Amino acid sequence: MIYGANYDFEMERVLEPTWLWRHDLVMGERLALARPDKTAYFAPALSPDGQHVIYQRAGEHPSERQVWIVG
Amino acid sequence: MRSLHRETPKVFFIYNTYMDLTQYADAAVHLPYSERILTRVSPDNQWIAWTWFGVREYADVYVAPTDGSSAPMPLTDSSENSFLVSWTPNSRAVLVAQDHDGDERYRLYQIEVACPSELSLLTDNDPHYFHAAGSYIRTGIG
Repeated sequence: MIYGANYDFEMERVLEPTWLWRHDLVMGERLALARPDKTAYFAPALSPDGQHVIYQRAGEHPSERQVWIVG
Repeated sequence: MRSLHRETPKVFFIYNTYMDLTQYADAAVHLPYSERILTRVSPDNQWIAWTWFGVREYADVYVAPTDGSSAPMPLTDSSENSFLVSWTPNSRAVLVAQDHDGDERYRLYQIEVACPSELSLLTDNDPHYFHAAGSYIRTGIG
């Protein structure tokens, strides 16, 4: 399962930005797929073939929004 | 329109078995925003699920077959608002988000279409952080 969360599950600390996580529901392991450093709330979406995730990042300018893909 | 299923005097759901899937989904998402949000068609195109406000005291997640062969069925019956997030790849279950007393710290649950109201918690029970949506990866559950 993939989702965003403003939490670092490895260091067990709350974050300002939202990180993108892959959560193995069988083993319980969470892997950070993306660690944006700027605060942004986003809802990641999975591609139909399940191979890529699309999500948003904040840019340098306060109004800037970037769209990123991670495989 | 071939048939009309009325759930309450205030809200209703339109079926038309002569619509193709695109027309059906388009009609569903153009119903009033305050009553129905987050509509999702299952990967196998056999089901449509959505979050429905106003039918009960709290928002619930409903499901119905896309061919209109049966009335909408609630998948949740909780004292918290429930929001549809996504389908599992096998189209047998949905991912649902619920917070507690409106704290917006959503827990993510799986609910099998065949087992309504049986919520399986997938994330932390009392998170002190915020989840942002979620989707199943095909290699995972479902």
